[in-house]
Amino acid sequence: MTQQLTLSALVKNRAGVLLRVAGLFARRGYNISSLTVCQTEDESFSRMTIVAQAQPEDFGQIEQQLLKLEDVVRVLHLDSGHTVSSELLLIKVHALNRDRPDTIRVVTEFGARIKDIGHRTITAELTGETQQIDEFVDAMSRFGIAEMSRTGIAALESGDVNIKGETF
Amino acid sequence: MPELKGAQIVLEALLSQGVETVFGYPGGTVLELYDALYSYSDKIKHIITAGEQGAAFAADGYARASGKPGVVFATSGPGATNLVTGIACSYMDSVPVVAITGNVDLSDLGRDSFQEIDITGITMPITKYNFIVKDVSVLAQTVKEAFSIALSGRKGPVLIDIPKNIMAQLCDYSPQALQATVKAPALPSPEETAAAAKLIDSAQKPLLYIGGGAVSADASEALISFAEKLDIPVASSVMGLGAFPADNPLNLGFTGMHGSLRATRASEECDVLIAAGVRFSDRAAVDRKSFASHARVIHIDIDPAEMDKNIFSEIHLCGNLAEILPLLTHQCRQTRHEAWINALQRDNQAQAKPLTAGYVNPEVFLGLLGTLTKPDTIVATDVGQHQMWTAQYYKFRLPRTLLTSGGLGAMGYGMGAAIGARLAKPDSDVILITGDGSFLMNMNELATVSMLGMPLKIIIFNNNALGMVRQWQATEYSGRFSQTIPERKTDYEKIAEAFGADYIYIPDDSAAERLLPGFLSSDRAVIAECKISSDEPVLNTK
Repeated sequence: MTQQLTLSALVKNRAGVLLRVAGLFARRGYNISSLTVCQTEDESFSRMTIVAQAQPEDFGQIEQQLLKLEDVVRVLHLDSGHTVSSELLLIKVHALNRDRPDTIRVVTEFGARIKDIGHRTITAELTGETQQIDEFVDAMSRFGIAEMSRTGIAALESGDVNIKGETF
Repeated sequence: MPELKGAQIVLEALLSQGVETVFGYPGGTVLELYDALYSYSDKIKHIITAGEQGAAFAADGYARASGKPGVVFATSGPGATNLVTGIACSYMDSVPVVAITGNVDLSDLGRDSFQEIDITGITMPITKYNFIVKDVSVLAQTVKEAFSIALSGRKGPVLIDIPKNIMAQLCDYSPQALQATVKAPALPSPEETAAAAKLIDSAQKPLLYIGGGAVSADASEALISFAEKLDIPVASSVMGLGAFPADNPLNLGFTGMHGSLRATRASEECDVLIAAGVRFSDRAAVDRKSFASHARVIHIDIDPAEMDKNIFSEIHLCGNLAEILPLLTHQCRQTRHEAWINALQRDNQAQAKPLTAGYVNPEVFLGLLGTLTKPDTIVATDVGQHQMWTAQYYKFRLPRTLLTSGGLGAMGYGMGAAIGARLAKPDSDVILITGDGSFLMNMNELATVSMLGMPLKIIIFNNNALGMVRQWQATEYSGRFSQTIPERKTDYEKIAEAFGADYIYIPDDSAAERLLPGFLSSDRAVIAECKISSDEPVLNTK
């Protein structure tokens, strides 16, 4: 049985680093569910948040292979107990006039925001944890999803610490 | 500070790393580099090969034989792609090589220009790291960093791609502090080492299993002290051959598909396995589920990512083998394991292999060869049956005397590697043992051998077949010999003559006995063509 593995990696901000990480996952046969890259407080480093599906006994090996890349400075295994995570969803559903009150009710219930109203569709935005977003997508699917886009997870370790090992 | 062209900076930076020899091939985008080289010919010896693949293999052989990094130059496009097999070979066997390629001008990159290839993209999975230098001011630092990466931790190849206009640009150059810093790995904690020593002390049937990491770490002496003090038998992977002397009574030979039965049996029956500088490849540990399945495993390796990759181990000792082993030797009790060692020597039912009359028998031939060569004679091989026979029957007594493409299994490796090795070790005899299949893959490098006046000894095991594949077809595909008996009309005597080498023909064992001493003592390059039966199989040895 595969399980979800969330890794946060501090990487050198050099050309090709995304390709190196993605290439590693591809050739070793690790399955990526989502991968986000962003700038950090220090412009010489970027942070990648990688969510993968793997056998739990392979978790250590994946971390080690990642750490072996020259551009990877630190790797943190984020387990759900010690992690603050969030992702963003944009979802466009079919919404003709008679359906609109229903659609708006679901959007409001989930604490999502309406970003765009078209002649035949409504586009909503939700930020939250993965499970919450999954549930929202499920609830919206009854209206018919025209298209959607998710950013993948951004995550940090909770508490007064950071990936560089500093404590505050 | 003097202003130098980028190309000159590359050469100055190489000199700072102690580079004396470079292999390569000129071309359009490295014109600047070769022009700079013209003025450095008294400091840097450049060996032009017949093709870039031969140059990459030569740099690899140079590095394996000497322990120093090999360096290779190539032009963009096809020059760079011809390096790829050589770089992959160095990567699979963790050999420190720095490859420097030219590329088209920065302004032409990404426009599918003539001889433009994304070589950093292509070599990403087969290098430890690679660079494309887009700013001449970081060129010197990049060369230094490339050597640091190639030599630190688990060694391996690094590629630097330099656009032509960067090589032509002027930049301030100051040579200070450019010597590459090799990062020394940390030692395991005293607790980890103590736990390992305790486990080793408790063993009734211990086995020391060594691989290429033992050669790379120059850990031979440490291995011998450890094995002899603790009376532990030693099995090897093919890559580890030479790290522990073949004539030491504790040596069991190599494990795996074509290995010795006693080494394989030892791996099955041992209760504690001390794996030192190995990665449990599928050729050495054929079934990774059952390999050492009765043993508690201590894995010593410089690469943390090797831990639990193929075989799970109870104790991980990450770091330099040459430093860790003496700690264990010191901490472990002196022991005797006579019963265990004697049991391993008994009852191994190797398939009997009758001597074939009218042919050279590989076992007899390679046994004889081992008695005629010096311990420091370097043997390069290609890939196939001849490679496995050499690993089985030639007695490797010193590390860095076997050069073979173990991980990649690249036919054609041996000729380039032999050339590189002889340049690294001009006082050592160098022999290439090859097959008729492999020889044809890079025999063009005979031109380089002649150019250098190198007294290389080339032994071709000619069975008129691609023997290893043919053997598989015999056993697994009921003798349907598809494309493995090419019926070529190659005249090796004429090839030798054409390239300026001598030639002898060895039809059988008695001719070998008569001709080998003269062959080995010749001061010229000689091809010895040995007549081998195409039915001669590679079998597990006792």
